[in-house]
Amino acid sequence: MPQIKANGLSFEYDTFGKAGDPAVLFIMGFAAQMTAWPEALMKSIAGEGFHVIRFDNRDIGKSQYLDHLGVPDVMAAMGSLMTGIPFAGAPYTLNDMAKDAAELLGALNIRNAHIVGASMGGMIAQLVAINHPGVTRSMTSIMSTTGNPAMPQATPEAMTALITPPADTSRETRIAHGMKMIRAIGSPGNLAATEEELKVTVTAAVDRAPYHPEGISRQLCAILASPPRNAMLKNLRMPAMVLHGIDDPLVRVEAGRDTAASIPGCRLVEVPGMGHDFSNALVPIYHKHLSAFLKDAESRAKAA
Amino acid sequence: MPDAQVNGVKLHYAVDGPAGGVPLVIIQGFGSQMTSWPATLHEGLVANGHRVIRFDNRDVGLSQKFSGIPDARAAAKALAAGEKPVVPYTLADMADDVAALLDHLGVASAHVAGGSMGGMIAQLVALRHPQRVCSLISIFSTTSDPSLPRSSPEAQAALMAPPPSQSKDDVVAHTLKNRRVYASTAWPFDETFWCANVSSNFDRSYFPEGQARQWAAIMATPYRTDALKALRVPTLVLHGTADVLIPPEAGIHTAQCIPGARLTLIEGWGHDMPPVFMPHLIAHISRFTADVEASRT
Repeated sequence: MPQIKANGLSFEYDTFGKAGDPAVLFIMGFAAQMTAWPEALMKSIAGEGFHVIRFDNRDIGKSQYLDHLGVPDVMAAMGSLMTGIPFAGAPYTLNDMAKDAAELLGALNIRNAHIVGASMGGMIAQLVAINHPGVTRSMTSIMSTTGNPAMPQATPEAMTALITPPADTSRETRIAHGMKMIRAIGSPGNLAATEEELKVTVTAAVDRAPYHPEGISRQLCAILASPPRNAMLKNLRMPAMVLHGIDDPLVRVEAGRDTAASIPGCRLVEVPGMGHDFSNALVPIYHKHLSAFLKDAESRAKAA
Repeated sequence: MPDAQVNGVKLHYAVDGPAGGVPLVIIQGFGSQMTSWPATLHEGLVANGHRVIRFDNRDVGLSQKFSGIPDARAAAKALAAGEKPVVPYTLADMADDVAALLDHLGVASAHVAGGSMGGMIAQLVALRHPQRVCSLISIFSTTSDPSLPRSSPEAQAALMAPPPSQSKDDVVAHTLKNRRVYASTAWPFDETFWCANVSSNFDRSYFPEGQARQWAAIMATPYRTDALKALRVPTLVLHGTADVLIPPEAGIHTAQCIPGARLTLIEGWGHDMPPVFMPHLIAHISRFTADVEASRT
C-alpha cells in the first residue's frame, strides 16, 4: 500500500476500483486502522462504480506519528469534558484531521469525493463537509455524534472497554484485549462477529502496525478538544446520510438522531441489533445503504 | 370516548394528554381501528408532552358506517382516464374529516401523523389544509405514484383475502397469519401481544364491508407527486426496509418530493407496529415535533 504527503504529513492509503469514477473517501474511527473498513465492503462499493479510498489517520497504523508534539494529559482532557469546556491542551483537533482528509484528496488529484466516516471518522467527515464543502460531494456519518454533550453517554462497560489499555504489550495480550474490546462495543445478537472472525480481524490489526499508545492519546484529546458541531451542520447543503445501530453501546443512537436532525434534508438509517462494529454480518447492510445513498447523491449531483 | 358530528360524518375519537400539550393527530391505516396500534405509542407520546388525538376513520370501528359496495377497479380506471370515479368518498373527504375534527376540538393547528393509508390522508390534510398542519409525519406510506414498486403478491393477497368464516376464531387466526406476511424481520412477531390486540379489536368492531369503500377511496384518489413538490410543511417520513406491502422506495419518494423533508429508514422494519419498536418510533416523532416547535418560536 502506498504513502502520500498531505497537510505536511505522510499518510498510508489504499484504493479500490477505477480512478476517474466518482471518489469515496472512507475515514476510520478512534484508535482504529484503515483496515477496520472491511475489504469486502470496499470492493463491493468499488463494484458499484466508485473509486474507493481508505487511509490511516495521523497517529495510527502506518501513517505518520506526531510524537514531537508530546503526550497530552488525557485525564485533564476528560476532566474538562465534565465541565463542558473544550480541552485547550490538545496537540491538534479534529479540524486538523479534517484538513488531512481534504488535502489527501488534493494530493491524489481528486477534485471532490463522497466523504464517509465512522465514529471519530464520522466527526471528521462532518468537519470535512463543514470546513471544506468544495471537496465534499456528499457526507455520511456512521455510528458518530455531533459532540452534543446533552446526548446519553456510553454504557460504563463500553467506555471502560474502549479506554482501558492492554495489561501488557505482548502480541497475545493485545489480541485478547482487542477481541474483548470489540465484543464490548460491537453488535450484541445476530449481527455480532463470530469468534473466529474476530480473531482473524484483530490479529491482522495487531500484526499490521506496532502498538503506539501515545498516538491514541493524541487522537482522544483531539476528540475531547473539539466543540459541538450542531450549529455548523445546519449550514450544510450537500446530500448527507447518518447510519447508526440502535444497539450501539458506545455512541448511542440518540447521537446519530441528533446529527441527522442537525443537517438539512439528511437521510437517517437506523439498524436494530447493530452495535459499534463492522462484523461480516453487517457488511451487506452497510453496502445496501451506502450504495443506495451514494447513487442517489450522484444522480442529484449530475442533475444540479 | 366521545363522538363528533363533523364534515357530515359521525367520528368516534379520543384525546389523551393535557390541554396544554402539543396537539398531535394520529391517523390509522386501511381497515384499522384507532385501538389497533399498541397503546404504548400514544401513551409514550403523551409522556413526551403531546396531546394525542386519535379517531376511527369513517367506515371503521365506532365511527359512521356508509353503505353501497363501489367498484374499486372501475374507480381506478376512471381516474386513469381522467374521469370522475363513482365512489361514496375519496381520501380527500377523509382528510377533510380530520380538519373538521380539529375544528370540533377547537384545535387551530396540530402535528399530523398517519400510517399507510393514514399517511396518504395525512399528506392530503397538509395539502388541503396547510394552515392547520404544524408538521406532517408520513409513516410507511406513499405518494401513490404509479411508477413506484408494488406490494409483493403475497402481501397484496394477505391484505385482501377474506377469512374462511366470520367467526371470531377464524377472523383472529386469519388476521394474525396475514400480519406475519408483512411483519418486521428485525424483531420476532409478538404472537401473544397481537393475538390479544386483534381479539379485542374484533370485539370492539368487525366491519369488513367498510374496507371495500376505504379501498375504493384509495383507488379513486389521484397520486400526489406534483402536489407534494409544492408542499411547504415540515415533514418527517418514516419507513422500514422490510416493508413488503408498501416498499421503502415509496417512503424515499415521498421524502424526495416534499421540499426539506426528513427521511428515516429503519432496517428490518416491516408494515407493522412491533411493541418493542414503539420507544424508538416515539423518540423519532417527539424529536421531530420538538425541532419543528423550536423553529416556530
